[in-house]
Amino acid sequence: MRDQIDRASRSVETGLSVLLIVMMLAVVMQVVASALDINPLQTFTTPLRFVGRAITLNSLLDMQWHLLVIVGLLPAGLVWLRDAHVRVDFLYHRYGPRLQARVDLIGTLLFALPFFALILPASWAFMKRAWRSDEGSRNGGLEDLWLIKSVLPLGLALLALYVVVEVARLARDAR
Amino acid sequence: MNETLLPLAMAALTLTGILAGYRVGMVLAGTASLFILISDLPTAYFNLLVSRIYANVLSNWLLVAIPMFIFMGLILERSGVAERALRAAQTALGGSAAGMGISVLVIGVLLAASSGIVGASVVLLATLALPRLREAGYDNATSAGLIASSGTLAILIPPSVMLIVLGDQLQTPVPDMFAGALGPGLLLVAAYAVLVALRARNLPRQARHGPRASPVRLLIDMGPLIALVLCVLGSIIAGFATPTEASGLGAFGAILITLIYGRFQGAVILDAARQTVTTTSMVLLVMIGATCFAAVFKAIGGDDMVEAGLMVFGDDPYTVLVAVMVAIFVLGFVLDWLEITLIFVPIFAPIVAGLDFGNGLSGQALMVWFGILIAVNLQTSFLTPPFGFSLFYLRGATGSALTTSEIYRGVLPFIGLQLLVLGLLVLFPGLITGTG
Repeated sequence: MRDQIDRASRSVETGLSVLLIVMMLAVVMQVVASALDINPLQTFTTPLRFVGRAITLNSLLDMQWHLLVIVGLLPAGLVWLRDAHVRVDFLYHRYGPRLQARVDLIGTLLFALPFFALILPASWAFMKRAWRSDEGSRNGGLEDLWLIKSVLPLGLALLALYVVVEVARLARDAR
Repeated sequence: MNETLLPLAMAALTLTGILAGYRVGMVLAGTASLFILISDLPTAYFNLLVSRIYANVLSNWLLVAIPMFIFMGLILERSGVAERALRAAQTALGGSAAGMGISVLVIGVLLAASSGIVGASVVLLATLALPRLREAGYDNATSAGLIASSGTLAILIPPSVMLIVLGDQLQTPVPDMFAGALGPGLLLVAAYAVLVALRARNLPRQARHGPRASPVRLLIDMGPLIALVLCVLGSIIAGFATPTEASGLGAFGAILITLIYGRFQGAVILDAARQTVTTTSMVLLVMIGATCFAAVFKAIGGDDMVEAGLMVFGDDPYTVLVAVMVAIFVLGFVLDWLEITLIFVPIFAPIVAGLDFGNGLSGQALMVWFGILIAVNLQTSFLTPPFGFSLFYLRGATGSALTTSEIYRGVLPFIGLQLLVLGLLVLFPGLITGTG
């Protein structure tokens, strides 16, 4: 079970790393295209899903920050499980395992619980609004704003899931 | 609850949570949520926060530059390109004791301008330079101070992730921040160099290791890296490219350099990408938390409380500025630059923006000046014992070769120089803005 989770996490990470490289290539393409004054890069007679009628410089710009949202938010849970999120640890690293687990348990109850209780419904509503209006770019970029707005509740839900998984371990260690 | 008690309680809870060691991003986000529930703010206020997270953090194109610059630095570091240039610089300059010391500085600047990652810089410098500095006759404390300070230049000298985040928070153009940091960076390097030269005066001139490097060899080893740095930085400051564009090209250029040297390995690039993804996610969670915190803290009157607190020493502009700088310096003992920039800068900035310092600065120029002062201040906090980041990295990289007290003693004169330069920058804003 643990091995499977590890392997799945590993491949998700690899996928996200590839997306990071795609993000870099999108920047390079955008710079080259704008230097050579190629815009739009490609037009279509019938509007396509996600890109609309044309791939423009703004499509590439949008793509960059959309990828940033994906690359930044989706791994939040994995990073949590690996305990890589920023801590100020000059006291924490001196605690024994039991005290560390207790601090984390109290922190999760005090901070993570109210946060998720408020932000999960709020970000869900935020996503639903974008879905209802089938929201697209306002500046001739990508047409998938509704999709990228779904990454917020998804990433946070994954994070919440990993926090819950951790609580099981913390409850054991804190005793 | 009482009007001033509420923000005070919020600040106290946040600091307690952070210092206890819970994840910073979650402490900030959680405190914001708790205080929405406790105060008379409606629960629907959180919908506003979600919109704000989306607008300020997620759909912020400028922030694409953060993973790109981190990626560029990691590629240069992990592929061995950076180390190759460093060895070349060392051979070129290491003919005398003073030269050996200065070479560490030069390498620090080169690393700062190419990778900009303090941890990596300090570790690399410690591994490469500590044995050489010892052979040249430097005492351990001086070597430790020199390595830590040279490595820490990475956070100040552009392109630096800290300057991007600061520019974003202060709403000043990042190219202006980059340009503004150049003068102070060079001033610090000059100050360090004088200190090194003074220390090296009594050291014997030592025999050179191997033959002097040929200029061609030097060009091959250092040329591509220097060219990359000049292109990335130059295009941003000259306005040819936005920071985001330059950062993407920089990462791409770093990959090209690994190809030129025949050091290209898919696994190394992917590994650098993987580390970048983790770091990006770390930064993003703190940003999301800080966005929530800042909005709620403001909504319950926290900014008024801070403003009143800063004014207790008087409302003379310079008194307020000194109070802000001392506050940041003290916070720097326990908090990282990221937390200070995201939590405190939005609170301090409007206060300072409303002041007239009588030095001809206003609007954007005033904020650039203020931003660079903060940057130098935060850079110093990397060096201050006991929790300075650079000191941890140095300790980790050298094992038992340096004692903690040697490291602490060694950085003290450099911290003195930092504060001296900070003072000069306050008195002579032209050093930052480039105008008399």
